[in-house]
Amino acid sequence: MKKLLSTVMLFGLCAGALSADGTPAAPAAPAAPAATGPKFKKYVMDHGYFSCTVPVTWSINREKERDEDYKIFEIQLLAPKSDKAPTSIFVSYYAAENEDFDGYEDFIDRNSTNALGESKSERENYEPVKKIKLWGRRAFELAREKLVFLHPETKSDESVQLKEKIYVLPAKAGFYVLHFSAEKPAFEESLPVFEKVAKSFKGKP
Amino acid sequence: MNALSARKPVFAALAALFLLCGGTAFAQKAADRLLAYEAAISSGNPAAAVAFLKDREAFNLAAADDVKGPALLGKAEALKDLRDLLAMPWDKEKANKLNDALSIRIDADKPLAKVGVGPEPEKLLVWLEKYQPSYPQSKKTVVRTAIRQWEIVFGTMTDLREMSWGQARVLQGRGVTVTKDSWGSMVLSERNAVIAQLMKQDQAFIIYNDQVLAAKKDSVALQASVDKVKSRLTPEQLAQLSGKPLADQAYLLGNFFDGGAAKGDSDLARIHAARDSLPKEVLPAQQRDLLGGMMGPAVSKELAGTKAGQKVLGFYAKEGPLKIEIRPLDGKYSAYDPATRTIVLNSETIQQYMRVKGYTADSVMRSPEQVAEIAKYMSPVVVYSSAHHMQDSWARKQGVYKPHVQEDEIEAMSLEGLYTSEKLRKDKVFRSIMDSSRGFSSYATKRVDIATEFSASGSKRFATTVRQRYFSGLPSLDSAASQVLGAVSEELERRSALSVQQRAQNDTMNLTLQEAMEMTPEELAGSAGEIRTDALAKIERDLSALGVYKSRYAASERDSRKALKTIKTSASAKTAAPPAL
Repeated sequence: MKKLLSTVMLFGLCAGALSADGTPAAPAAPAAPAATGPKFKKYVMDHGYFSCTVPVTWSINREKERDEDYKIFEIQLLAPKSDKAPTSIFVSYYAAENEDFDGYEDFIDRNSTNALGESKSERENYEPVKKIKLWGRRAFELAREKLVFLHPETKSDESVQLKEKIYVLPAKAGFYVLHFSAEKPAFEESLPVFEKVAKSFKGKP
Repeated sequence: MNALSARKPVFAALAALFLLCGGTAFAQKAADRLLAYEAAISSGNPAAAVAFLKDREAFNLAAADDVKGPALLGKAEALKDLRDLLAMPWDKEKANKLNDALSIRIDADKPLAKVGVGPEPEKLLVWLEKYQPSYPQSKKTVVRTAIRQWEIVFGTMTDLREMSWGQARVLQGRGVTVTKDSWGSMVLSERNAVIAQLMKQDQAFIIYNDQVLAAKKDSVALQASVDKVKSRLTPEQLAQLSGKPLADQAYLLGNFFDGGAAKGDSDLARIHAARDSLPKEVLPAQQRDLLGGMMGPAVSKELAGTKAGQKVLGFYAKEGPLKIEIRPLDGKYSAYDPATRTIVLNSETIQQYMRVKGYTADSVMRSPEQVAEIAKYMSPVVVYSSAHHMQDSWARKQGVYKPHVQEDEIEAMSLEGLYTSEKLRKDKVFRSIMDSSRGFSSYATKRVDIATEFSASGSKRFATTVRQRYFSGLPSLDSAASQVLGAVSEELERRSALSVQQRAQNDTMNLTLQEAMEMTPEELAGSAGEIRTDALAKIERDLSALGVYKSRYAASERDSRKALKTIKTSASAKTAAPPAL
């Protein structure tokens, strides 16, 4: 057994630590605990595209193969508590050659109105895009509220009111997106977590 | 470190080694690796399953064994699928969707049961603790709700529940008693059947069925609108409504507020949209046939000039013609009928549009403009259903068994989202119809929503939304394949013990390949014992080569995402990207 464990440790060093589900475990390092709220640990994305701290009580979702295929490297953090829609934070790096958006301008364009080009409707409200500075680098802030259908293929109109905040950070190659989404009543409660993740975020220039 | 906890990192690390260090250096050890995979997969290890599926050498070695290979592949695919499913962001409001998804995966005849995950649903919890211990408690609670754990459904204070069932009435002393022990041995579908009975007696249980719950909420909203509108009625009209069921009240109100267009009144719009059609608003069968015949050319005209539309038209230019039928559809807006290779549009959706616009069956038959307008209105779902036609046509040409899977819906909804996005930008009349129809029609609002979601999310994240939010109850390709492969390989193994004569004799009575090809994965897995041996072998070969299917889906996805990048979503003069600071 000892021999086997030694072998395993060697392999672990060779391959990087794996969790039981076979996905790479987030390289964890202690981070300063917040005065209130959950503890955080460090997460480093493959290829060193970005790092940030993530709340330990939130779960991390990753689609590694599709990330490589699309050249979109992202994690989704999910709050332990949510109502009809999850409270989630996406931290994403869209490489320059990513398959979905033709640059950060395209991302902002598609995310600042609905498909009709409206910034306001009975079900949606998109705030004007703000130019901001985050940690000394240029960025854009998007905020919106929208009613989202839960059953679009049936005649049920059951919907939830989502409130979202998005930071878009252009980079020399590609761009970064930090996307916070929650049901309106849960938004304020988890906003500090998002801001802490955002504050810890480090991407390539 | 105990044996159990030691095993996890062992397998994970072995999997990592196989992934990273495969190739010539380990070629001579492929057989050893296969043995390790078999052992780990048999104990339900998802990391080993993923590693095996990626280890081409060991995979090919396994595939060389006609009996063991497909069985191992089926188990590995099932474990990978379960891991991917549970990795999704499930929350308590999606517990019923997770229940749907688990019901088709965990049962007595499913591959997961052969690796210790089922058929008793609580085995999933054990598996979860062993292989996904880091999942938050909230997620585990959602899983417990999804598997209908006794304590969640009935609480911790009782070990039995009495209920009426059909003719067996509790009050007559002939009710059915469900105990905690018997619950523990029920599979998910059985538990859902019991809960469905309980719903009939106790409204509290409707939380376990999204459709029933949603219908209840719709009914409450309709009742509120009916109550509000009543204040505008005369005493005579009120007397007519008195004592009538809600549906009848809505129908009568539709008559009182005749002329259709709700003109921005949300209560009237809800009533018009929810009520049955008045006689003059109904399209009789003969007129539906006529309208269907007119819709084909009218919709084709609509599709021209858009990337998604050109793809559809290109398909029908080769496989044509585009045939459209209009008839009632149960709860759907459209469907593809493989028997007649026809796209069916829901007559009620069209009649709802006619009601609100004030059109009658006669006026539509006389007016090419009204037909063109209806064609515009329905064109997004024609695109959606044509994707299913393309999938069916591909499978026929390939001659492969093709179950209906989540990937089909991702392709179809993406194509629809792409079409609607582009159409809203390019076609002012289409835009106007969709815009104005949102006030009364959830059909129109949902079309715009799908376009918005597809455009804003991009192809990658939209696929996750489709899998989780819209079609969680449908199996993924991997899941469907593993389900069928498990049952088929087991049956073929059983038959290998029979003599040639016995097999031939049985096969004369069994279902043919053509019949088997039309079955769902569920049906196929459940009736493998009644299908001819050559048909089973053929389906096993098909589903052992999932790359053929995946290549097609990947190609389609590439088309959609490439097209999406080239279009802008807004028809309005949106500001260009904000200037650099």
